[in-house]
Amino acid sequence: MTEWRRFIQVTGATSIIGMLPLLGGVLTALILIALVLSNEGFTMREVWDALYEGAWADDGKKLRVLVNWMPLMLCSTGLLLTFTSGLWNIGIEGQLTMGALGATAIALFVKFDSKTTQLAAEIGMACAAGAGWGLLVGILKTRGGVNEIFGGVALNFISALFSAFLISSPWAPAQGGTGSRTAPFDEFTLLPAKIVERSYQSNTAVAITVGGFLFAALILYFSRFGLQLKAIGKSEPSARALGVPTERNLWLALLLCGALAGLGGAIKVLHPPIGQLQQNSSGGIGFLALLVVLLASIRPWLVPIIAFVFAFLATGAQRVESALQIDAALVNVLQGVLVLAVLLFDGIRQRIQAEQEKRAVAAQAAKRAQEAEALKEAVQ
Amino acid sequence: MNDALIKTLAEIVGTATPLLIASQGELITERAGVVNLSLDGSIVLAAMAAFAVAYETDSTELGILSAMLVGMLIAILIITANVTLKVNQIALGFVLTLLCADLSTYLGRNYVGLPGGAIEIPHAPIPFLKDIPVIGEIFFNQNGMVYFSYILVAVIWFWIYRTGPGLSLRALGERPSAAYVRGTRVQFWRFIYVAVGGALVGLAGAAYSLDVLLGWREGLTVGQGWIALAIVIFGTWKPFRILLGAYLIVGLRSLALYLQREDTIELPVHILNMIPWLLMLLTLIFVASGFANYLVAILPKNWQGSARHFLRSDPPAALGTAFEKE
Repeated sequence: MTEWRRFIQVTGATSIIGMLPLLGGVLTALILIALVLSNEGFTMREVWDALYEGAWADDGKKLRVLVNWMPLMLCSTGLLLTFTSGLWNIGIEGQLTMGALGATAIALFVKFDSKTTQLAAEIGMACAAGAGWGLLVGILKTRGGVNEIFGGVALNFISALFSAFLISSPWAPAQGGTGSRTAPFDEFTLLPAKIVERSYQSNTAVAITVGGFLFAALILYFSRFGLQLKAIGKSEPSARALGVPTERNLWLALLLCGALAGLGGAIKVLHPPIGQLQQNSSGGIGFLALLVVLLASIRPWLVPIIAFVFAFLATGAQRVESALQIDAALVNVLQGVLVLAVLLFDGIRQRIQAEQEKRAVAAQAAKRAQEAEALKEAVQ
Repeated sequence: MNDALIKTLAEIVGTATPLLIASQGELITERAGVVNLSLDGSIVLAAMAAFAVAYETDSTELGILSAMLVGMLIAILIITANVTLKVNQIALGFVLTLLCADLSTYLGRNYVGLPGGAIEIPHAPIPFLKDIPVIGEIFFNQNGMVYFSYILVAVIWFWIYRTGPGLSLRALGERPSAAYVRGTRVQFWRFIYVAVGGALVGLAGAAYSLDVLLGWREGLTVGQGWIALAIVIFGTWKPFRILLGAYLIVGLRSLALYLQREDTIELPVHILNMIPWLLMLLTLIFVASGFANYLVAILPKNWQGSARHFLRSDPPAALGTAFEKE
């Protein structure tokens, strides 16, 4: 029983009030979207049907959701570590891009005899490239005095330009290059996958994603490092005063986050049917992951669920656009409104709780004063 | 000076104007101790609003006004939620960055690619001043928005460094509790400065869609907001340095374009476009590291003071923190 209770406590689902912001946010977003849709002459039912048709109607479509879910999930997992330590790792877009570039470099130019070695090299390179790019944010922050938000933004732009440069000349296909993608990789270099209803299912990719998530969750809950990250996130100066090696831990958090994002980048380019590096390969997944983690308010167990909802919406949105002529950007608006509403509701919740606490303290003080008064009278 | 160079310089001044206005808006926001991280989204949504309203009403002025209103409302949302609900400014700003960009795509979908010739901000050379050789051609053969940006920089400088309320503004960002004790209404003035800053950011959006990048398409100004935010840091929170920073960044960009056209130089445009970002990182590192102090130390004695002053970069001390009355 106590174990079970501890588990619930760890997940952060202890109070209903704690979940109110999420519920309030979802409700607000739904109401708003229903208003917009009715204004355009659609019902929620029609849109839901199109979403379902596009993202869940058969196994092939479910697999497409899965393919969108995995990189998002890996990025969100990485961000759990950095957010816990109080860092705003906006540079995650660049870390994902560098991962994709790392995997591409091996897939295009290095050939091993066995497929396992080949894949291990590609994924290892992606991890290393992402990790390096993440570590750079950390070094810039603690040694260079560059705030992680601006370091991250600058590194995002630099990595995107670097990727565009590679695609446009050194890595352009020998013939018929359009400047927007490399040549397709050899099938040998791709993640092993079987075809299900015109979609691809790769168990290796799923294993990497789930493994990455479990790894990060274990670190956060059951390691000394995870505890230290939480301490740094609460107050960096206090953690340092208590002897926590803050710089090393911040670097390590960014490095691990970068490595996980790099894995996401590897899956993005190595998962069939894509199998090539495309212009703008990050596609805003890193930013979306920041929204996922904000929504989850750093509660790890919520991350897979929210990432799934976002991946589902992203997959179904194309169908909504083609079937109902509703701009797919509306789905992104919906996500934005959702996160904004959750942030605002969370502010309201904190205010309510603070006021409750204040009242409880005042009540207690009044009670004490009364008791003291009574005692005084009794003595007299 | 040859005509081509003068023309390029005039173009740089014109193209840098929206960035300059947006960074000045962010400057007064941050000087008041608040971070408006939403610039990239605010600018693109304001640009869309400016074009859509101007196109529908055939009035450039209404377009500009609505852009300013959009920028102001976003800024007000951030400061209000931060003050009343203690929501993190960074989180709010980031979410609004994405949300506003998506909103602009959705709301502006019917205005993509429409001709904007009739609502362009009119070219207005200033008589007499435009005839000054070189300078007149570069600075005074422009439109009203550009002239406004010159005045804006001067006014903000004067306000911050030479007036009483400007001193209070600096106190808001440096030590709000001290400002409070001196009788400044911290929350009220923060609200005012953030709203004005937001309006300027919106104005920058209008400068894009009604002038520099005339017209509307999805993601018209994507990336510019981040550059404007970076210019504020690069310009060490000082109006005239921000002006220099904005011209420098745009100058580097047009240099990249120029070199791309010249076949003799084999430097890919993507690599050239990285230069502003690398430069920005290097400047920040240079200022933060001990190297700047070392450089100052080897200078002649009577130069040291001014050199140290020039190299100093002091972000407002209370930047991004909520203020609470004790």
